[in-house]
Amino acid sequence: MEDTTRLAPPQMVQGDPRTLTLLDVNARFLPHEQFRQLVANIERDGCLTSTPLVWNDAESGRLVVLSGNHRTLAAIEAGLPEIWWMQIDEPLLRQRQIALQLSHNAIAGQDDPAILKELYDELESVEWRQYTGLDDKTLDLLEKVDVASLGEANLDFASVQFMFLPDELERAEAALDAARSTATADRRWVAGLEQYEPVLDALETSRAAYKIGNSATALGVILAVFERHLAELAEGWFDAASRKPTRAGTAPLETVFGARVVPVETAVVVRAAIDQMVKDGTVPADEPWRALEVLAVQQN
Amino acid sequence: MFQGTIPGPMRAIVRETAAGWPRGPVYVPCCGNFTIERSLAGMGFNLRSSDVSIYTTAIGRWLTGQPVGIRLREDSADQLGWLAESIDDGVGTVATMMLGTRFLASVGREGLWHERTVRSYRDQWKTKHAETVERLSRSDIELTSYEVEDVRSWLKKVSRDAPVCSFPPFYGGGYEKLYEPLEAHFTWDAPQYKPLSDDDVVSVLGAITDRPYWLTASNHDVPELHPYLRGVIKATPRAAPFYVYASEAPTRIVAPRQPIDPVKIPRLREGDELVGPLTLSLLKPGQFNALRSRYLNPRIAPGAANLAVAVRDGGGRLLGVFAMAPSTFTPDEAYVLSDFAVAPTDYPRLSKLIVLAATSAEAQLLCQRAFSRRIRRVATTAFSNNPVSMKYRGLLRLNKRSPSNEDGWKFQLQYQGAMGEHTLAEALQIWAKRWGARTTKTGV
Repeated sequence: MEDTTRLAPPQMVQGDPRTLTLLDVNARFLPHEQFRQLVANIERDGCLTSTPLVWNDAESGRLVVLSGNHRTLAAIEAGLPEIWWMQIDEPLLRQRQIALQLSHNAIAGQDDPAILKELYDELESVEWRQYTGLDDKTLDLLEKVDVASLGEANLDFASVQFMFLPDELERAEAALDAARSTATADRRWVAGLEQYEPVLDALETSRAAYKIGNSATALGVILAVFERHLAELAEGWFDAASRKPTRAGTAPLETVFGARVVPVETAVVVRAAIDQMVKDGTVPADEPWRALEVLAVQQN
Repeated sequence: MFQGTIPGPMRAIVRETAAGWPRGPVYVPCCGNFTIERSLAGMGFNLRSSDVSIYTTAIGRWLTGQPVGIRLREDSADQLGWLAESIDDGVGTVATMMLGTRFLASVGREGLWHERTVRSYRDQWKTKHAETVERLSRSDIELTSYEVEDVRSWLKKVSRDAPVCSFPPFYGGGYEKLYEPLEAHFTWDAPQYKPLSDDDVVSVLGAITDRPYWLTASNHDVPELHPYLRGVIKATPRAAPFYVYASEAPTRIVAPRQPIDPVKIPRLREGDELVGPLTLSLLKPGQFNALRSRYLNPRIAPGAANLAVAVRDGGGRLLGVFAMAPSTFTPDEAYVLSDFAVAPTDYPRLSKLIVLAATSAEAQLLCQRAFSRRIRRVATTAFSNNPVSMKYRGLLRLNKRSPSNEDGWKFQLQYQGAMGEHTLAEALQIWAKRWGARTTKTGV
């Protein structure tokens, strides 16, 4: 510690709090609700009941509030024309200014919770309890009451999270991990990052077309439109110009017919024809779908 | 559905207050969702309740073994015939009423969302109805009597020495609106009554307080009842407080407390040079609260943000914060709830960089991700004593200027602007060129 000299006793000064310079860099802050209570308390009292510590910086001519910045600000907010403060008039090294400031905040003592509750409980009026800046919930003074449920059942639903990932493996894995940590979901659907913008556009168009705000409902519209255009997915395996397959393997039946289901009457007729073809050996029993090929060849 | 339910701490106050009342009948007019009765369960009272709504009456009659007396309207049979089997004049009807609060408002309304809601309930009806019946059947709420009667006439009839506990409606017509969808599709022996006028509220309060033991609560501060103020419950800085009045009771208050999490990100300080590139990182609610409390004017009451973002420079130092919520009325707009720069720094116009960052393509992506929709524009409200906000001038367009509805400010300024028209890198370039000059300090 460089400066070991004792401080001369600060003098008590009365003046306009607006003439004081508040600290630019102050580690201490008050949340909004605490600051409002401080202002309310000062308005009620009509004066400050604890004293800021002010350093008279003769070199700059400023009166710097080393401790009690929020009280000073609240006093201004409460409209006090004058307050009292403790003023140090001698030069202070920067080191000592900071040490004073931090010590006033940090050396603040601790509350014995039992005694605190006991004293707080002695306050009978709501106003005095509010004045303290404490409350019954924080002090755990409210009885725990579990009320019997009287509620209806909620609809069954699944929450789905869309994740749009880059195509490069390492980044995709990192993005997947990051996305997983942001939300819980019953299911996760993964798509390429380049599909993100088209999905947003599709959602927006659905919303605008049907005047809906809900994302799940807008997605329902997209899926309904998709269902209506199933046959267009034949492009995935079929070249319409050459009428030849563009790849090997299998193709979904709905992309052939443009529908996932057919009326039962039609299904009965088709089924009977297939059974007959299986029976007479035209198609093998384990590949009944070949009946479609046979029927189509006959037609052509 | 939330039907006149009271906040959690209020239940504790009700129970604690009632502990000092003589055991016997307790009268609960305007009983709503029976929260008072549920809070007083097991204390040895004979609970006698009344209300005038179809919803409360369904529950109240069932709890006291009376026929519920509620039927589907004939002209609703076409739309809601599928409910018929569930209406049994008992617990089945009660379950139907409760589930009805979730979807009846959508019946007959155009729009995919409404259609989807009704279809979902219809598809899952059997299961959800059975589940609700099962839940209700497990309930152990004990009610001595329930009557369909208006608070004004009922209080004249009940014992003058017995305690009364009630949170009567203080908003004209509020409850009638709440139950409109139920009334539209169900018929019952509905009582005739007029909604409470301001004068009626005063006389009802008089009838409640004119007895040895009573407790009531309101969102209104009632000066006449100040000598009986026993509690104030305020959940958040922007929430309306609940005032609790009682004949005799321990005093209790619950004050709003923002959760605060420490933020260890280093801050740009005086003497530091701001270096690129800018980056954005998400903040947790407690971290946002801490930074807002530290840097924003403490006169502004905080609201809850859906998306809070820290803006950092190339050295990782915090430059400022912005917080967004989806706009209520404009689908592709984000509302800037809060934006502020750290202080003190050498850059007097640093707050403009935060606005630029908040309207960048990168911020747009975060908003779209958080709100699951396209975002093209931002809007915000500035409170100022000047007719123009220097922070937004040149960046956003002033749409409307009106007198402030917040104390301490002269004007309320509505700003709007485009989003995503520049990247973070471009934002830094624009800012550096126009507003990035450093101040020269004189050594204080």
